Amino acid sequence: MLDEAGFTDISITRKGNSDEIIKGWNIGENSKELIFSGYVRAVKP
Amino acid sequence: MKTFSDTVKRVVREKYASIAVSNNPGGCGCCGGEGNSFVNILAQGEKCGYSQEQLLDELAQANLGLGCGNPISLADLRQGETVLDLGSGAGFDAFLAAQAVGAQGRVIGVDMTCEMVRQAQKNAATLGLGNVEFRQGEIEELPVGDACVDVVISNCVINLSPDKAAVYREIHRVLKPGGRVSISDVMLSGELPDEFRNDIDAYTA
Repeated sequence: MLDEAGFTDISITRKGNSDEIIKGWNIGENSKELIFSGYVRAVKP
Repeated sequence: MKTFSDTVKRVVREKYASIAVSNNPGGCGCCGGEGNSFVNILAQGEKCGYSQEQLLDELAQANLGLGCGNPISLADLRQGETVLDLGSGAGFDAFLAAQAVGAQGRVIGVDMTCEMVRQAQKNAATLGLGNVEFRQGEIEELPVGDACVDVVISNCVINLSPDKAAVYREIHRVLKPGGRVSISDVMLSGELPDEFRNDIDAYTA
């Protein structure tokens, strides 16, 4: 999606404590299997 | 005819409007519940990567504990830059950005929920910050001109959009050449199960 939008230097990094963040929301037992908290960085050329 | 996207936006807007009102000292305060206590917001903020200094600063009155990371930490903000915060809420990240870019810099916060925009404007006035403004608008169609922003930040907002491709096209449009993106968000690890794909409640769980 970022690539198609024209960005470069794209990085997606999972936060080390992603499971802890997701668990803190109490949205379901398997939520951390479906989603993760992370950072997206990119540059417009 | 209302589309699924329209419904998602309405549900998200209503959810965050109620949060803005319940956290407003002038509001009823009865809807916040245990999840919005100062201790819980502080604990969530530490998990998200904010420093103690940031969480205990007077700016933190704008922290509603709705983020999932600290996009400022990786944004490498510099004095004089123009920053755009997507889904700025009550303004916490925008205010941190305003501190980082200084008086010669500028921060624009965009939020589709008018109650959040009002709360952020109130917070900005209380904090005496003159280099930050808040605009009501949708992140799929930003009320911002072309190529006028140095950095786009966002904290746990783009996941709420039913058209993420449009959001990224808009981010690209408003950024100057060489402009940077620093986003904290939740992302899918794999395919979304069918039972969640059209579940409106899953957007605001």
